[in-house]
Amino acid sequence: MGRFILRHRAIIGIALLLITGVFGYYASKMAIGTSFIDFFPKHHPYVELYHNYERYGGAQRLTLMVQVKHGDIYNYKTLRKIQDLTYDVDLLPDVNHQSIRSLGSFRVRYAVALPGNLVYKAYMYPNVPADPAAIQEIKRQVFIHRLEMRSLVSDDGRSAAVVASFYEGRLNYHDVFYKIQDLIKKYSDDNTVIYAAGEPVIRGYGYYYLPLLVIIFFLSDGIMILILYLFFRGRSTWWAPIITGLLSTIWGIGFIGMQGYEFDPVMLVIRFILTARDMSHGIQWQGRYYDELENHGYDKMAACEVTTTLMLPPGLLAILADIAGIVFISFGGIPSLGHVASSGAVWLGGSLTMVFVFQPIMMSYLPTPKPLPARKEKRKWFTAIENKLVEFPTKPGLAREGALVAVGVLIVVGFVAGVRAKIGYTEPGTPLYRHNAKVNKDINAVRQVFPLDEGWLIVRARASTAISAAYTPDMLAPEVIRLQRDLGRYLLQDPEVVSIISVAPDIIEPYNQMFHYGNPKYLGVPRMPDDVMGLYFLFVQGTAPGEAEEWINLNTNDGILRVLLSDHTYKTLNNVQARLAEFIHRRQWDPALKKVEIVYMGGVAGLYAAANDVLYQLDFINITFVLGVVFLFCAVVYRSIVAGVLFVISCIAANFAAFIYMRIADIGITIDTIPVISLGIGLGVDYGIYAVSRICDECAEGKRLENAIVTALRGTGAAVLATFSVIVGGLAPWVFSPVLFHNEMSVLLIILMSTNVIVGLLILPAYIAWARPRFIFGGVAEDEQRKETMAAASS
Amino acid sequence: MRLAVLESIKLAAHGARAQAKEPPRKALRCGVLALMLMFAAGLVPLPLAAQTPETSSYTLAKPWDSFFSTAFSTSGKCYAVGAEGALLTSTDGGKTWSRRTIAQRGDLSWWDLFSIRFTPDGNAGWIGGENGLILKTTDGGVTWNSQPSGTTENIFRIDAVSASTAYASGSNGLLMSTTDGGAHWQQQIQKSGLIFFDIAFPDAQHGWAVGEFETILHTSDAGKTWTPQMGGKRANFKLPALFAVRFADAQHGWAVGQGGTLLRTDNGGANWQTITAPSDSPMYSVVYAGGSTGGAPSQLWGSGDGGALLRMGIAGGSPRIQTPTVFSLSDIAFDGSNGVAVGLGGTIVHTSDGGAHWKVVTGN
Repeated sequence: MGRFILRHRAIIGIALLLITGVFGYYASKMAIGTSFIDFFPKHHPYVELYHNYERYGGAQRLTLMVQVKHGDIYNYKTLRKIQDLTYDVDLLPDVNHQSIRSLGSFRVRYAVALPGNLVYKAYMYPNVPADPAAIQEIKRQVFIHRLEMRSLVSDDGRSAAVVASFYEGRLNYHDVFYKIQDLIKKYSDDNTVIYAAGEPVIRGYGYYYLPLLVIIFFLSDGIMILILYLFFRGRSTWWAPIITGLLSTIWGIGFIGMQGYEFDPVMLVIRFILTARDMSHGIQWQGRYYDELENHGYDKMAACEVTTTLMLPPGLLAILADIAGIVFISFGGIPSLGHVASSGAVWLGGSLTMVFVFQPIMMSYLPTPKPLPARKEKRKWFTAIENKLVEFPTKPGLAREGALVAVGVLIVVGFVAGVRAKIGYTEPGTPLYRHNAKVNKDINAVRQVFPLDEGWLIVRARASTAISAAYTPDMLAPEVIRLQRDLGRYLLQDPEVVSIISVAPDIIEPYNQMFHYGNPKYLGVPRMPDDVMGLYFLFVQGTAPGEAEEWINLNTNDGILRVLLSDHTYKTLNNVQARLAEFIHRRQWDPALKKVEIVYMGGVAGLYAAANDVLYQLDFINITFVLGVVFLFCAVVYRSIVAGVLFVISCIAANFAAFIYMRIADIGITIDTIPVISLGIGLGVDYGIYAVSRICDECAEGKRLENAIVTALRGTGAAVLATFSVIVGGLAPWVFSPVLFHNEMSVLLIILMSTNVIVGLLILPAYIAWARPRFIFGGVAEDEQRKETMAAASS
Repeated sequence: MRLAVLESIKLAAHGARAQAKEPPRKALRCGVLALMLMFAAGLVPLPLAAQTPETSSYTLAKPWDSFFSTAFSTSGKCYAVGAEGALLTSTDGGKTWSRRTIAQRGDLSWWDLFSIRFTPDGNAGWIGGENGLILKTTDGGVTWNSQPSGTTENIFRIDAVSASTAYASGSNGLLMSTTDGGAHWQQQIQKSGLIFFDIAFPDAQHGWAVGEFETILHTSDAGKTWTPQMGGKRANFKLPALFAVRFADAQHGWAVGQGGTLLRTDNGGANWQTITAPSDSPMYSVVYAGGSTGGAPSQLWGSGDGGALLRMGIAGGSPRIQTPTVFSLSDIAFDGSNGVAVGLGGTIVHTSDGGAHWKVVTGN
């Protein structure tokens, strides 16, 4: 293989550079941005429901909370702030004007029955009253209607919310985020604090932190380059892995640009890992190249050829394992993971091409590196440690066998932790940023008072109907309205369900009461279909264009019941879904269900529930497939089932540590964490593959197994440690990222890398030394291989 | 080459010694196999965490509860009914309550209960509700049995004169009576189709029903015929609806309603005198109170919109308003110095000193 590449080095080299040029062009087209909806499984019924009924509002919901430190909001100054803030929110770009609600909004009203008259009153529109008595009346009315107003004014009267939704797809998080920050500054004072929560704010913080993230990115790159320089002791071509890493990065980013995907700043850490992988393979190649230069009397062409021939099989195996790790995450149908998977596969494919094809070509054109000056005597303590480590796998005894048993225990504990892994978000707030970050402080302050997550239940008529004076559509049948009322009340018994917004409690019942002289006994659903239809159209008459469609669509074929939740943690979502299922199951007797069906769950809560549904299974399917690929490739490359099993077990041992850490650090399996876990599986097995391949190579040269292991660890082991140092050094700055996700994932990866180094360099060789599997000796017994080798050597 | 051979012989000897020290390989291999099987078992996706809904944090009253009616049965024992089959019981005059649900419509669905009234001895009583629902007790409210009403109209009031005689009023012109304890109900549907919110019979013969368009109907033959004393037909929408009526005897009675309407008669309804109310808030209920046991009542109480409790002396004097809550109070009842008013927002207020002070039991 090496010979073929070098024979056609000019053509192959130019072709690769041309391809890189094309990718480079597309890389320049890549856009930075976040598409929220791409984080959820596209074909999940909940996500389809969200898309089908997007007209009921989107997940891009902003909640601005005006909170006073002393007193309550019922004074002219604060009420005025609430109203002005409402008007200013209406001016934000891409805001859905129909969706803006607050105490100061004209859409938030109550009805009053007077003899011969029904009057709708906004709480304070168009003007905030200055008269203290009028302000007290606002307070009184809010309290009377506290059930409907709970999502806008707190029970203690200290906080009020301004809520708005933005149009999905065309929302520019950057612009909206900074305009929201301006509003916060404008309306804050000594006694007034403005808190902001919602997806536009969460995603917007990604841009806020972007400059710092870029610094961290370059800092980590700098550290990696420094370690690389020190490891290769400044040899003339020490920088070669940087070049190949850079070129494969162009392939990866170019592919992202070519496909029109957006580059999410929060996902930067995943892209970083891919870059680190490139460099890691490059370092392995370069390290072996220097070794082979010495072995071949500094004949660079021979060294390039031998290195390529020897490194390609383990390199191919390692990269295929990496690709498997990343490709299978696309199985869940989550577009963002699909983008990571496809671009990551191309990136790693680029890495394979660049390291094992382009790097030898490049090295063949570059001047031959000069021999290094004789090394100074190593310090005694260092040599002692190095000897201990190198001898550990080959030295039988309690330590070695104990380590093998400990790995068994680790697998069991990791397995338990993996099975018990929490799905979805475990805490309120966003896991993207640190718990004490401003965004999480804000979210937690708001969620103490107002619901932040909304789940949609769509009530859909089974038969299509049209508006007619002679016929009441099924959506307005009394039993259908009653079904919705009962469902809402049933859900409200869950403490995490803060409020229900639906046509039954918010329109039909209060209008029925008001229409019947305000008598409390009429605060219910009318018996006659005509009455329901009459009340609904009475309501529609008084609404702004499009406003009524926030409740029931124009053709009266479907309507919405909004479930306002305090958070979207796994527990809350699970509980609500269980309640819904139970209600629908127990309500099968209801004739209303012959007219309509209740479909759930749309809204942002539905999106997260959909992700939770997919992630748990995706996690296990992904691990299964990756391990399957590792088994298959290792079994084929080493021509041994034992080899396949051995690598799978080592893979499990090293990666289950991740589950233990996630369990301890209370990190759930989410859309954000799953790519990292998947990559980790592929990443880790590389070390073992390189180490075992070198042992095989050394044995094939006739060394005894113990000697082969020692030689492999001193050579490849050192390169693996260098790779490990480069990656860990590069990851270290991410530990200090303001983004919690980066912090947790970098710690997780450092742990993963460490366990993989231990397993790859100590445990796997220890097992090989203990079990002496035949695949190490080319599929024959150890003595047979040695006899063959010695015979070959003597002849 | 010779050196290499020697080296290999040494290592072979070392390997043989090392092997002797190793633990039994078979056991370790079995262990590894077992671990692999456990993992393989883990590859099958496990069911999600147990999906048991959490229980409600609400016990007595929920913010969306509506209580429509309250009445004392025997001394100290008080009942309240409301939407979705809510039946609340107090055995200490209204200080503390327990709750149960009756009148099931289907699983997870109950009928609304609009009225509860007991006979003067407190043993028999009726609940009137949604969709023609009638429930009767003969043991002071412990057990309730449904009775065929023959109507699907809402029954807003059943006034219990005795264990055998009761009168009912409701939506769409509904007036009904029974003289056999509720086994049969005779309907006297009014063609006007007016809503009759309340009905009051101080004795078995004389009764008054009040409703929309300031209507007061009167009967002096146990409901066989009804004649209007006021209103009686669909008229000007500006006429206030009357929500409640009470008579101390066949001559003295009160009616209250929309827009703070307060009407009084001292001659069996021949004349109704308008009393100036302290506010234009609607009053939903009216009750006599304050009399010594067996004696004539001394006070009149009304409950209404925005938590208003109206109090005035029978003998005269200006009515006064108290507002222990902001939630509309649908009904009010007194038993000696104990008084209870119930309403929207799951509200129950209680007094143990004849109305001088009211305490919110639930609803705030």
